[in-house]
Amino acid sequence: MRSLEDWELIALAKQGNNEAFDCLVERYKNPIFTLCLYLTKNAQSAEDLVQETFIRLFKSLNRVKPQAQFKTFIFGIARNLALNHIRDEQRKRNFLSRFFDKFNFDHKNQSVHNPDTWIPNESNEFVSVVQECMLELSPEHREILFLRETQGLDYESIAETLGCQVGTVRSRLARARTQLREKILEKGVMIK
Amino acid sequence: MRHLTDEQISELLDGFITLSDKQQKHLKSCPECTKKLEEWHHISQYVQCLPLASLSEEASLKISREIKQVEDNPYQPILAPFKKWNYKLITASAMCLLLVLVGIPWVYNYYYQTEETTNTAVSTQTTTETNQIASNNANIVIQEEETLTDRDIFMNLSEEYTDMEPVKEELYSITISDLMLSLAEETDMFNTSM
Repeated sequence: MRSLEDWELIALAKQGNNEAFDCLVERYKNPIFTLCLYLTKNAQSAEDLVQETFIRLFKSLNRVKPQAQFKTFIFGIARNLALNHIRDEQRKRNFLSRFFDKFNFDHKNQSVHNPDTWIPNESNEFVSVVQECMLELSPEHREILFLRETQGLDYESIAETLGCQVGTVRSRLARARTQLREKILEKGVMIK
Repeated sequence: MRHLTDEQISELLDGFITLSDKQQKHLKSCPECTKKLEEWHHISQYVQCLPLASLSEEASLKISREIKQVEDNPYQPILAPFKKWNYKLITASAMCLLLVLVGIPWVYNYYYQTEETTNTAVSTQTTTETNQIASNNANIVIQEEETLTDRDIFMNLSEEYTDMEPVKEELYSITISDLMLSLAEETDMFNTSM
């Protein structure tokens, strides 16, 4: 079962094979969790988003048609859910900050997010610095670097996942790499 | 020749671009572009090595449970909006509650006041009407009294008397003893008065 391709597993899952679907969950739970973490910077939210992504996938199994890459499809679902979540959180934060400002209440310590809780400890110093600098990037740069470098998607697949043009992917990826390099250099670390 | 752009270096790194001869010559001769490409290459390798965050076992089990639940109840909608605080729903509910709380007293007051005003209006109207009718009747009576002559009064009385039937029983029930008694009283009266 583990040797099967993604779309083959989907075909089996459509026929009611739960083991095939579990295999897909096992295969993609960590990449989706990482993507959601890069986007939301909150472990609890990312867990909920992973769960929601797989439930959406399971519910729409009969409507799913094979595309170029399953990764593109599943990352697209996760990304859309994450963006909706970020938008809702932003609205909630704006509402709360307006509320606290009105009553002169110190809300700076009421932060919901704790971005450092999920970062795995890395023994390699340079990898730790890269990790730290990745988190300092904007979410759109983080996600494009994750999709390209970590997941190895080509420009067309990234464009499909993000819902934008290939040209946009090209320029955004270049900007993300430039910024990451600048941030690493700012920390005084030699890149070698 | 101009330096390679960031986009060109990025694409070169990914292997999605083939440089022209001029660009290749420039890349070999330009230390700045070469350094940037090397640095990006190193960064790219390290980013690829970044470990994936691993989902906890508890969360994985939760996913399995949720999927099992969806499988068991395929037509039951997942109550995702109720799993977390749904601010739209809460706001809408609060607004409805507020509307009901404010609306009921308002509607009550509105109808109560209208009813009261109509009642007072009707009562004032009826009192004025009755006053007017009474005054009209009084005027009519006065006018009638003014216009009645003695003859008319006599005629009216006679009509009244003709309508009345005589109380025969009473008349016939007067006996001689009653007459005698009345006479005695009269004489007694006379005597006392004298």
